[in-house]
Amino acid sequence: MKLDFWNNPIIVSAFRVRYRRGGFTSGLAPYLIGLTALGAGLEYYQDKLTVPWTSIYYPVLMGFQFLMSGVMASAATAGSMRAEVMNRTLDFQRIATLTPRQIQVGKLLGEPAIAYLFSMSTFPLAMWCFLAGGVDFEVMILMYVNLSTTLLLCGATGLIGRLELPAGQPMGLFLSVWAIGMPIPLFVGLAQHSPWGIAIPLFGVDIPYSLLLPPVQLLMTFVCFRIMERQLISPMNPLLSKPMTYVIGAGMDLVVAALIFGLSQGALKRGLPPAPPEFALGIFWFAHFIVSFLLIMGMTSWRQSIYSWIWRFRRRRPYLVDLWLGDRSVNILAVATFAALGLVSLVAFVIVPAIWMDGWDDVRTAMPNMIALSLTCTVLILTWGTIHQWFVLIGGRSASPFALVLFIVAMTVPWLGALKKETEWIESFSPGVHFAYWLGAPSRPAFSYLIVVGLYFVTFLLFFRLIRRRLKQMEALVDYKLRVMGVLVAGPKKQLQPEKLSKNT
Amino acid sequence: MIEIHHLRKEYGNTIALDNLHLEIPEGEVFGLIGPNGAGKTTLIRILATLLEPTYGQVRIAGFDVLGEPLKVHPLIGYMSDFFSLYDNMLVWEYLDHFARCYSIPGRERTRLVDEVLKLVSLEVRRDSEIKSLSRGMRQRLCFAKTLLHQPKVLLLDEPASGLDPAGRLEFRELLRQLHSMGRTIVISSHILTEMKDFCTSIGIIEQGQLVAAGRVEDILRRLETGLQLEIEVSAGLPQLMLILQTYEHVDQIASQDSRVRCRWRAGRDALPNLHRRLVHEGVDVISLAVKTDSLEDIYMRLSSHQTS
Repeated sequence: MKLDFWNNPIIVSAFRVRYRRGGFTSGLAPYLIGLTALGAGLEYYQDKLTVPWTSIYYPVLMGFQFLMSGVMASAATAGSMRAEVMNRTLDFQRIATLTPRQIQVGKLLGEPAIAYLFSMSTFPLAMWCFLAGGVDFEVMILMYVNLSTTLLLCGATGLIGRLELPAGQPMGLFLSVWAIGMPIPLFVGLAQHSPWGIAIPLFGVDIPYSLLLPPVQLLMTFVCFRIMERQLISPMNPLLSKPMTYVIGAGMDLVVAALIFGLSQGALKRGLPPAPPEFALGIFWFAHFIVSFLLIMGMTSWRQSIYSWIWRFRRRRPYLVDLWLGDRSVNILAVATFAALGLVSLVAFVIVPAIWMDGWDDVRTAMPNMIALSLTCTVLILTWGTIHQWFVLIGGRSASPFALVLFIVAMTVPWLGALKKETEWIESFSPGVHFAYWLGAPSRPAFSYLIVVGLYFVTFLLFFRLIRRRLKQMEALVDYKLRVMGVLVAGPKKQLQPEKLSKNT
Repeated sequence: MIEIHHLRKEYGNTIALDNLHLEIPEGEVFGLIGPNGAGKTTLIRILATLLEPTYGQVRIAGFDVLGEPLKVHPLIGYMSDFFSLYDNMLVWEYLDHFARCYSIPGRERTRLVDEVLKLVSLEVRRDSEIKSLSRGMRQRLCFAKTLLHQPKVLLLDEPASGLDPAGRLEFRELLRQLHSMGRTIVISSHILTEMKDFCTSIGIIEQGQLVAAGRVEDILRRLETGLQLEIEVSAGLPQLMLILQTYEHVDQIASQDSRVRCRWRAGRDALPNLHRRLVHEGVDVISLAVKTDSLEDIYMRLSSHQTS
């Protein structure tokens, strides 16, 4: 990506208008005066405080900054995109020579300009704290690095709020709140006077949260950015491309495996017994299952986009390649990829490190549970991915939340019932009960997990057939229309007249 | 300049455009005529790369609008019937913003901004805030933005709808200038009398299908509409009616007061004979006028006034 954002017209205009209208100074001056007065007040009453005034002032200063700038960044990008879409001014920018990416960069860096300026303006106050001995220099710098990545993420989540989804705004709001909440552990560290103490163990290495957060936030910003860019290119595109979901899925598997490994090693270091292998496997598969389902939701194309695929994109490249990587094709092969990805990640990120650390014995002991978990989760991913595809194929994009609700109900309600031990016989059909058992619940389900696997596999086959049938109907309808239009030759099914179907039709 | 093949656009069960084929040569002013919901705006938005068709191939200057939108964008200028401007910007800031969006370099940007402001007669409002402009001025500013990067193709969707009569006249003059500069213009409008004055060819679109397209004279010739005659007499009206009824190539005869209107399909050369006969048979002719068909006439003949 070309980083000439200083030449981006959206950024230039945003700064120009704000500067002319005095927006930079009108809010900033009272804000700075207030913060300085607070610092001066705390210093004045130092003799009445039991701790150095800077140890109170610095977290408050940064807390204000994270909260205010975060809210401003998120609200500014969301408001700007909303206005552009509602007033149709975005159309004029879309047909200029700006790429969707440049439009996004403009929105992300131009609209929340005041939020960025607010955060920069407090730097002298933070320096004041450092000079007064309230904070280490590297911690102070790191907090500002975290602040800037938090603001970028907040801005990006604000953009997401304008997606043409049934729940676009609530999703954007949820993500914005989450983005603003992500730095909370940093403040826990500051409050405990141990900013490096809050750490995440990954593969046995404790990585300080303050170092981990910026790259994670940048990656999340990139994902939000890509989602919105794809929507700008065409609202018919699913939120995420299939290759991107595979990469994210593999990345999440790696992180979960690293966390499990790190937590086990951490327990050993503290002289505690490590978690049993069944527990670690259960956590890994459960996380993979949930992440896979969410990613499948993000990349599954719905009725209208599948229809456009049938009209314009099918037969452009080999069918299987299209199913695996194509943007608007049905998700059947992608769902299978997620199922297979879980197995590959299990071997690469869980079993191999376990063998490397503890030898074969533990792995051999855990083998029956490993097979049970792998089989169950593989079938669950196939089934729920297919059910979701069927829902959105029939009901369009707005049916996606219904599939999610059905998923939550099916996964949790029987599980919660099972914990109360009321209807043991029926509860054994729920995967949740088996997961609870694998994760260490004392009572064994009434039936073997194989019954659940069988039940879900039959459901998968049923929905798979329904999708195939529906697709064939849609293809036949489109082929008929193409024949009427004179694009397809009347004659044997699926026979095309190549000279009439050019590359870009 | 513009080639459209097998274009189809469906919105659910509604077919907005149905297997549309159209070619518009360079330098043409092409008027899109049709009732509301006929598919005019859909067609213009697809040409402007703002809407994805269900199927079909659309090319502008050889570039595919679906496959190479970024190559098409510098070539087109688009103005919609409903639009908004950035109210908190100044007039020159707005144009400068879009000049930057089209990657026009610094010095040229300033020159072009001044040039288009002059073209749309807004130079005196250069430093005004956009929110202080009247609707007509906003329309002109939007048009100035459309012309800023000197596009080869102008896509105008009901561009004169908010203008007062004087503004419409100015606008018409502007379009004539642009036509003389060799620009290709696609314009949709309901006001057929205006279209007649500057369109070199038209397309009548109805229920998503192109009912007729081409130069106005060619369409007239294809329709074999003949000539409209209007004969005014001071005496001998019944006689005149009887005479006209004897001709095979005269139909649609209607009389009102002392005037008779009819359609004459025998060509201009046969008119002097008619005149001589009327005089010879004692009809006191005051005037015999020949009228050519207007756009409204063509539209009314071809259209069934149905939406998609």
